[in-house]
Amino acid sequence: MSTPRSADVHLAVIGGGINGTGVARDATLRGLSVALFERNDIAFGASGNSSGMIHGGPRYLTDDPNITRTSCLDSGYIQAIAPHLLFRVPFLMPIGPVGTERTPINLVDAFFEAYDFYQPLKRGKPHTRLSPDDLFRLEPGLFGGGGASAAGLTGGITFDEWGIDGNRLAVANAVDAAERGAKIHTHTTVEQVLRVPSDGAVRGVRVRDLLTGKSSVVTARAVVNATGAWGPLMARLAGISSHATRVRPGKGIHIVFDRRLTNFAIVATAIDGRQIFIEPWENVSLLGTTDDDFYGDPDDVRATSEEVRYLLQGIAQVFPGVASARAIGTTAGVRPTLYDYGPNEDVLSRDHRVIDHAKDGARGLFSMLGGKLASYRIFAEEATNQVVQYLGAAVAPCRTHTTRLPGGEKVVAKGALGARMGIDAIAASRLVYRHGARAELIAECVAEKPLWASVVCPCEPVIEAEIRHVIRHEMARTVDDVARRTRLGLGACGGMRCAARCGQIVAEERGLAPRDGVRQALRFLARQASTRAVVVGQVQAQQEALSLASVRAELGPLLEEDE
Amino acid sequence: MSRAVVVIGAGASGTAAAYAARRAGARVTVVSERPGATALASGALDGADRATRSLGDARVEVRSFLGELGIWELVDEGCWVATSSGVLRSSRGRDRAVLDLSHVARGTIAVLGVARRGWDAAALAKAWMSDPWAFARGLRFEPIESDVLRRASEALLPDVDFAKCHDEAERKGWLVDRLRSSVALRDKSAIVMGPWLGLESDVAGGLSAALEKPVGEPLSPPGGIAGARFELARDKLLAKIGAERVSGSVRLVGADGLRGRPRVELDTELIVEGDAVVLAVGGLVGGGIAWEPEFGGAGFALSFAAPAVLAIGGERLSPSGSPHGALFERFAWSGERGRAGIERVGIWTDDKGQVRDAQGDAIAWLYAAGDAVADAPRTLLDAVRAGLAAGGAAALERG
Repeated sequence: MSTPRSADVHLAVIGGGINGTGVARDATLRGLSVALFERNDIAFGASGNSSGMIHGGPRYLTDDPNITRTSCLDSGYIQAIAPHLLFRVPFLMPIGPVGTERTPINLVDAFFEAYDFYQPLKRGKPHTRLSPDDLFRLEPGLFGGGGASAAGLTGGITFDEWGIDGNRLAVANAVDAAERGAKIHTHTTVEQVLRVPSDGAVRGVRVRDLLTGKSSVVTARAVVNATGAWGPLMARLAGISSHATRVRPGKGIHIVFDRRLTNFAIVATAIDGRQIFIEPWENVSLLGTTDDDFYGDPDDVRATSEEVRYLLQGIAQVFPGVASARAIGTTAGVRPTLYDYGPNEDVLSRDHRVIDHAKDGARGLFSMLGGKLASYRIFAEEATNQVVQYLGAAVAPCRTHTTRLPGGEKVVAKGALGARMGIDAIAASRLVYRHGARAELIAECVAEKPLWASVVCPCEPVIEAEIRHVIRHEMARTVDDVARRTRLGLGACGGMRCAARCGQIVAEERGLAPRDGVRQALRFLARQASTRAVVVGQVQAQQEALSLASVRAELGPLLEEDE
Repeated sequence: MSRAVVVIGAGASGTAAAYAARRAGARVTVVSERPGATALASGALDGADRATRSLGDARVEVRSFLGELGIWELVDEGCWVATSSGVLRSSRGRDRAVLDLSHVARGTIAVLGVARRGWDAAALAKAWMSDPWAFARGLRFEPIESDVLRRASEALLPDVDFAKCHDEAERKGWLVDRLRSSVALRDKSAIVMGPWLGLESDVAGGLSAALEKPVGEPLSPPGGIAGARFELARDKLLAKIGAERVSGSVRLVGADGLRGRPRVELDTELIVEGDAVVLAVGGLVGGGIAWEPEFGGAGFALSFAAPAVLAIGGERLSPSGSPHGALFERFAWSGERGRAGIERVGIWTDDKGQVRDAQGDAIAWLYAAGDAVADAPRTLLDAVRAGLAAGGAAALERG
């Protein structure tokens, strides 16, 4: 289908999380012309601050087995289209003592027997029942390494899930859509959803670029609201009741530790009986998660020290080593859970729903509510189906489960690539994890400019060529955007050694004044500091002061200016 | 017999205190353990805090101390320096190796392109040139390639080690010849080189004289060469003035009763006695103050036992009521207006730098200076000023 005669695009998508980028990709693959508008950055909200798993959701098995089935099935599809982004996360679930699952082990065993039925859908391994000795052999740090002495320990279960970088997954969807013709506008807020006065049908959006300040109107025949926790705001901008897009926002936080503290994700029970876990994830460990009704502003969600202490207390029951581990930050996001008044946060459905706002008088406007990372693709397919039906368009069928995402086309030999680029094995391996086959493009860049192999962020590590690549080809416009795509500055040093240099590169690539690059770097550092401040321990406090002192030493008056 | 002064800490304020006490005739012992905030020096002397722009009456003494130290220059009219982040900034003074752009004639400044990792002359030239200050002064920056590496391995050598190579006279001469032979450098009004112009000797000065144009470095990035130069210069100065050095971690500073002699106890079981003690222990960065969030505490605490108490904003810190300990986020760098608490918490003193006890009374034999003091501006020059004042006062017999 070519561009519609009566409008700039067939479809305007609002929201650049996993659902928005998923719809943009699906619709583009089917031949629709698409424009996407994201107020912050790709994966800024829940998508980039999730537990980083596309798990099958055994939690939902008892109440909502259908969710488990779609999650597992779609998790399998994601493996097929983006194999480079996945890593196996084996779980341990000790059973018996305070702070663990208290259900009798035979019942838990039987429960996972049922989950095993879905595992093949995502190439997962079946669960195994473990004796206490098995548990300690696998993870000697359990219960402080006290051997099988933990009171009441009857054994445990190990089961299998997949980890993923939610930022990379959303960016891959956005990049693929863009390369197939979609227009992706980040840092662009929708100010109004325009409607035809006579019949109320949507006819486009008025948007403003928050970095340049420029406003414009983009006409579209259909609009998909994929804004997650921002849904009610979109309803208001479309002139329909905010109840029409009602969600029950649930805040979830994670604590990030400086390294992989365990080889297994470990499940524990918090003081209120909720399940929490610590998970080795990429180079770090994540401890999560909370689930609390959220009444704040989704643009500025932060973990609090209450939430941090709740998680630390819970996990310390099972894995006491966490008390002396070094936390380097927190993440926080808001789940757009389907609205329901009454139940506890934890038992709310993780199902998703596409709402056709014709019932609210706004034909052509669709909202995506609920959902989870693992099932984003099927959710996007369902939303795109509705849009296609509304447009009455003759288009190709959905191909998102068979068409590989950028980087997933083929396997790259990390060792050879690293040697060719003159970077160390770890840098090469991280680069290939994030970019898959596209790492070859970055290598070509380095072949042309050997100095771009220099390591800018030593913690992750990230080389200069990758920073330039994500600015040129992945729609990164600020230091924060670069960090989301590359994990630059998210390691132990908190950006102290790389933010300023990254700001310089962003300014150069984007033709900004160098001062603007420095300001972006300072904003990034301050935000990172604020995510650390809620977990800071004795040694980290000194690190905080060090980082501030060194920024002051170098930038002096500029720091004051920015404050 | 002359008075004995014990200075704890060998950063900018401790070194200044030792210098002033020695000048006033006291015997001085400097106790120190590890690097602190001064080791993070970038090569710029402040400019950050508007409140301390004026050193007032202390100017002469500060200048004479800096002259003795030999690496830092106070510039009356202020100077402009380039940062490795690609912007230009003002400063009250500079490491002598850093190029002062305010004395460079209108024209094109060469940025020496050297194939060392982390040094991108083209990007820096472009960034500095687009700075409004450079534009207003008619300064242009141009990357000029020049091979000043003698071995391929020097491409990966850390700045500090590469700088050390240039302390050798033979290498300096070779570098001068190299730069002289470059046609492209001839019409340039100045040359910016990487942060490796010598560790102990004035390489920048030598190059400037030989090439008859200003040659210097930009500010070094965090943990760079400027801090290393300070540590060497400090060691030389303390040796020259005859201050005794003791290495170790302080466990206790105290005096028994009213008449007892002040003493400093170290982890090594060594005890140093004196007539007065100057706490130039640094704040959180230097390790004089620590974050200890246990129940019943105020969060921050001195990292050793002493009759001093901590304060912020002119008030004593009080214990937090949380059974899980004080919350750090109340003190952290938030990026919002005003200095973060971690930069303000410190030892409660009177306006003369004398430490107050829990009742608020000045302790006759105990002084504090630099980042250790509550609400002190975290700047090098103020640390020097306060160190000189505290060292001078500690050396005087009190009535």
